[in-house]
Amino acid sequence: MTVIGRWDAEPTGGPMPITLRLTTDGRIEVEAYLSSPLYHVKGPVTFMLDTGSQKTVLGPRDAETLGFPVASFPPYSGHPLFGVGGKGRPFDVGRCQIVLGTADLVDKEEVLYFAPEKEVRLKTHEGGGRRERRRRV
Amino acid sequence: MHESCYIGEKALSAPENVVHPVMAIETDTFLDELRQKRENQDWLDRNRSELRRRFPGKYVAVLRGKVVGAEEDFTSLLSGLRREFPDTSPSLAAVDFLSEEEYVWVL
Repeated sequence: MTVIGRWDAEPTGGPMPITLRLTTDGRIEVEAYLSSPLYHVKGPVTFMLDTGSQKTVLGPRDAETLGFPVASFPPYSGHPLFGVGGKGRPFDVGRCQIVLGTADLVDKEEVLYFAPEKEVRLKTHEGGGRRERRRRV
Repeated sequence: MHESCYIGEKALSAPENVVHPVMAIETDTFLDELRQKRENQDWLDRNRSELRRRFPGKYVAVLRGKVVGAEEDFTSLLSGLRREFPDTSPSLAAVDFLSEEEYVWVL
């Protein structure tokens, strides 16, 4: 299902249509073109719209797909960030240009990156079995 | 017609007075890439239920209306895409993890 949302576009001073996707599993997504002058990386990204988020976050899979050198991101020096999953450990991607629609809305956003959680298997003392635990890497 | 959006600014994390080179985004190029991305995402979403049955617990990549990769590990999927489609940016593909059970998003 595709819906047309209305977005307050500062550059033009009024609302403009941006195509959003309401996915069959209930997410609201928007296609954007992201460009990072700092890392010389650019390409299309599907963002999930979270109306409660105060920051733009680049997902680990998107960062890797676009070719960002994720290991070299410096830690984010701003305020601690909390989400529904708890406190995060963000990294600073720097300011990126984000283009929406047909280039009618161009925004420069401070973009953050969260290191992915990786599943590791740890031995336990209970019967020598193994159990899965997730930890940040 | 070629239009460009130009970028050239100081990055937040960079030392003062370091200005990064201007990057030009050609409008024709990015509109075409956005269209391809959107079409792949739409196809994946339309077929999500069927794909979930066929590839439970896997990352799936869709390009031009077909599944071009399915792996339990995202890094393997990305490597496969780069190997099989060296002339296509993997960012154009629609990639999603298809959990065995449907999740409810609370945002």
